Amino acid sequence: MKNNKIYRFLTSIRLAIFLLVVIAVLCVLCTLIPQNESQAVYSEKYGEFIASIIQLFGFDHVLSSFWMYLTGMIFAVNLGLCTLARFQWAMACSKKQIRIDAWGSPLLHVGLCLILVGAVLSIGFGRQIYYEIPVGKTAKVSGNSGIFELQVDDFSIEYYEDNISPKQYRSSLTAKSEEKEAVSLITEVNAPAKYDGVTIIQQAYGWQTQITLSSDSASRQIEVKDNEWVTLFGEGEDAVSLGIAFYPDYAEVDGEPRLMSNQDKNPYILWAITKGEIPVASDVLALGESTAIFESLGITFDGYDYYTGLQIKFDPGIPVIFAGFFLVCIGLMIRYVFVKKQSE
Amino acid sequence: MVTLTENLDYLAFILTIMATACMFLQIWLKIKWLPKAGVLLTSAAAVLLLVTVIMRMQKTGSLPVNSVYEFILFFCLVMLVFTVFWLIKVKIYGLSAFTLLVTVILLGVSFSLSDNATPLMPALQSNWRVAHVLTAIISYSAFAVAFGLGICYLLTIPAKIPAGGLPAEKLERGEFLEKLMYNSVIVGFIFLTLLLVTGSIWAEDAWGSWWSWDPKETWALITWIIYAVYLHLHPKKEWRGRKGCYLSVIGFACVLFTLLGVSFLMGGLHSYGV
Repeated sequence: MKNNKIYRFLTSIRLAIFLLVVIAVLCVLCTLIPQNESQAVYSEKYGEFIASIIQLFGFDHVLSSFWMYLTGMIFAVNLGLCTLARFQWAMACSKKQIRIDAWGSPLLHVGLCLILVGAVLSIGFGRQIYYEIPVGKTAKVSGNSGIFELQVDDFSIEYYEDNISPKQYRSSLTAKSEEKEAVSLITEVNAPAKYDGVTIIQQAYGWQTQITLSSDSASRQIEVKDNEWVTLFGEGEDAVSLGIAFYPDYAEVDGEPRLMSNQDKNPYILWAITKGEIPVASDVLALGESTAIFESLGITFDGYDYYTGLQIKFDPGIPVIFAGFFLVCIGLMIRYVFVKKQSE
Repeated sequence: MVTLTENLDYLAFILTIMATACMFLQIWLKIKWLPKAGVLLTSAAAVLLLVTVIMRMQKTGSLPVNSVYEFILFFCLVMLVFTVFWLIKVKIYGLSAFTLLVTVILLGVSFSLSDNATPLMPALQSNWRVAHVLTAIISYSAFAVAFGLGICYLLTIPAKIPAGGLPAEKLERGEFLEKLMYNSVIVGFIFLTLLLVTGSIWAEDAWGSWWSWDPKETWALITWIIYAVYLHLHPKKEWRGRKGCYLSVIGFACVLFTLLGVSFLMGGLHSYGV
């Protein structure tokens, strides 16, 4: 086997270096060329000819291009075989007496293999969904042993002294399922919660307002997020849309609305109505106030609450990747630090 | 009113320029007192930067590495300390001249950046932050030393070996510079790996993704690959000497692009306080 030309080629350092350089070049291209844009964007930026070359070779989606997959696959084979060769070498070195320094390089390369395996597991079997759940509401989440309900009991923000910049934010949650007892969880930025094999990551938050639309004949309540537009009726150029900006602590300064702090001391909404793209009307409204936006349509600012942005993630690759990180670090230390001390 | 204590970094910048001038002049003039003046000026600049960093630490209540400006200040402080250490230990004036030149350029760039001490955003409130940033600073400083040594080698050891071979003194000097450069790259590579590992573990908690192909991450990976190539090629004799030096220079160019180019041209998840 070792005398086989293909085997020698696949285990060669020369191939490893060539593949590393190709990966580096592909990485450079993916940061320099805008990714996943339309043909018009490339034509405008680089001209027709270069744009067609970029698209022909898949450099508009480098990370999922044929070149990246091909290089990645050959690199995985090369890394795997090189690791095996290094292991055999370390075993041969340790036959007469145990030589720890010989194991640095094999461990380091096993670590790199584990990172690759973990990444494949993540891509193949991992899943993640982003939820925006208002306080008091529930979302159905798929865990390892089935579907469970995730209820947001509370959401809180800790501010710096300026009352504007958030220091930390967290969600208090209850996970419920038919088979298991309800469990209370807390997730905050940098400290995700774990339940039934999934990780619940605190990623974002925002305000959600409750608006009542009332006409002569009926009324209905809608929920509009801060800085969100909703279509009330009509389509295309005739579509009438309502946009809301929420001010938890509102003040009017020089005739302009201003946010004084992020605490809900004086809640107001700034609403705007457009027909198609054309602005029709806008004004501010305090909590509980109503106003007529058309002759036959009024809006009332009924209430507001936080919603929490949670990333729910199931990733079987993570333990493998982290084990890989550990081996890479240990392998590096043995390969370069320990060997030095021995030779000294 | 602008006080002297608010401008210690400018003073450190001027002293570093003077120290750089001393080191470059020493290469050609070889005057006895120039290296001593260089050590004194570099030490004084380091003390001034240290005071600046401590003052910012008092102001922000945390290790001041929250923006590109603060990172550069800290990085330059470590570079100056490294330079003094190398000046006293091995007396390679060319190395000091080039590491000081890098420090002057970085300090110059830092003055064009916002020096506002903004509070830490929630995603940065993590114990991993200090480990992540310190590994970056140690790694980048070691690569800067390898870069300086690479330039020294390229400038002092001729590309074409004369018929009778290089004089023994030059040969010894070349081997010495080469060995120091290799050791610096090893230190830089170990800490760059730790930088990627700490960043990945932190990103998994903060962003829910250990790797996002963010421009800074991608360029850190490119840098890691270049130095990995260097370390794989080093056992081959033909890749020691000038070829290795070229790789060291390319590697450090990638370090600088990761630090400055990505921050200013590409944005991404790492764009804090640019």
